[in-house]
Amino acid sequence: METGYLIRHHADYCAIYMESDMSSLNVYGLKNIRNALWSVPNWNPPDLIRADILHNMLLGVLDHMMDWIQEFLEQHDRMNAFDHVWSRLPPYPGFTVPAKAYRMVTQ
Amino acid sequence: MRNFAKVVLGAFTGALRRKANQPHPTRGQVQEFNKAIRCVCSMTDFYLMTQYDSHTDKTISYMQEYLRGFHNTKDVFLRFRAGKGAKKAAAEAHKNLLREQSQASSSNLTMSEKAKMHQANTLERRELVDDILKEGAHYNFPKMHLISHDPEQIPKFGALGQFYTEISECMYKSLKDAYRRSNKVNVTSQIITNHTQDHTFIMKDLPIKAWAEAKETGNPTQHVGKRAQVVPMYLKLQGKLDFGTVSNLGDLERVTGLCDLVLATRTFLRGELGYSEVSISRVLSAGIRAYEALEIPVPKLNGEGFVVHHARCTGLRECRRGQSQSDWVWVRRLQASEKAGPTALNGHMLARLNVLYKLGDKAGEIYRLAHVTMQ
Repeated sequence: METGYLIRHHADYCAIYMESDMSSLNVYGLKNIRNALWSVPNWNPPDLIRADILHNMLLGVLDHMMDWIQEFLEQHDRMNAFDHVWSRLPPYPGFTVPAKAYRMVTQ
Repeated sequence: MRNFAKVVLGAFTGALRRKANQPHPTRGQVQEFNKAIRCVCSMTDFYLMTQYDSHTDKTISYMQEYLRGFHNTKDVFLRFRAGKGAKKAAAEAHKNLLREQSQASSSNLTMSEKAKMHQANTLERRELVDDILKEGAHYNFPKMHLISHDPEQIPKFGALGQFYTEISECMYKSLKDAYRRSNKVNVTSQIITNHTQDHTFIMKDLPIKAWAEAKETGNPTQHVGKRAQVVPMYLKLQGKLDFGTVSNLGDLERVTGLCDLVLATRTFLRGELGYSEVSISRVLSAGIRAYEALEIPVPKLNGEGFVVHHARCTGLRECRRGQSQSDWVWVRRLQASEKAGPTALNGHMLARLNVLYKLGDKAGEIYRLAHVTMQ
């Protein structure tokens, strides 16, 4: 599948791991761990895991992104403007208006 | 929780807008803002698409496109990926450089030279901190890698909604409620008793509800296997104001605080409908009905039924959070043109909905009118 961004295939992992010595693994962003699943034929480890939107996207990547956004806005001195917009969002069907400014919400 | 991804892009973009009370962003800042907005846009779009119930090759290629967009623009946030050690080192280096810079003599410089030097120093410090923060930072963490497999999983296993763990995590709720009701001492047995009781009651309720339905309709399963009726789409006025307080346009002017309502209505009747003075006063004397909301049925994407949207105008009355509400609506002012591009407004204009009312004519003609403020 042509994607344009880097999808690391486990076969590539395996090949790099076998060929290179321990010190050069870091260049490829690999850890010195031998995957037990490499020895099983006709097998694609990523297919074992199903995409979990809650833990992977909402509590994972998007949660990280909110941190970056917050730091980005603080760096450019725009956090108050963000809170201002956040507390004044208009309602529409399927969307509940947040009652507080973003920074006031704790979980 | 699910909500925030729908609005974070809008709020973020809104926060980065130029404002009168804030210093003008520099050219470099504007570039950075644009990049950050594109980055956030790609990621939220990707997230919203993972929630789709059905996919085609096109939507999957869109997901890949969004992920690619994110990876192309992510370096704008790279400095915030720095670990604790890098942050500490950056703060230390910043302090040292600041000390060095302040020790350098600046006594025999003119004001403009001092200002220039100050600017250069600030830039130097910022670049140093950026370099240190960015050096060890990376996006190489497991969750970031996992989402790169999402688009290829959809053709293999189906839409991702079925693996959504929020549904199963909702099941903890009753157990958590039972824990809260316990005295927190001998918890386990209390949770088991309490939760079992709750569960039994719910299960007993279900057949009672079914019996009640069967008694009313004679057949508890009559809705099974039938297609939903096609409902004709029509707009509906809702939330009638009390006729005692509002019975003519003068009352409505007073209640809503609109000073040109009578004048605008007269102009409309005369100009658009060609009424004479006599018939205008006849129509206006017949009384009016005023409403607070307009129900707008919007067809669902899957073609089954409608979602009802409300356009509200509460006048001076307080509605949500103590504020009066007058919703945004599109108003058509010009004929639609075939040539207009997909993003053009094409004769539409944004307006605030002020009031909705119904004029009745004795001759049997009824006009449903809305007063709007063009922006």
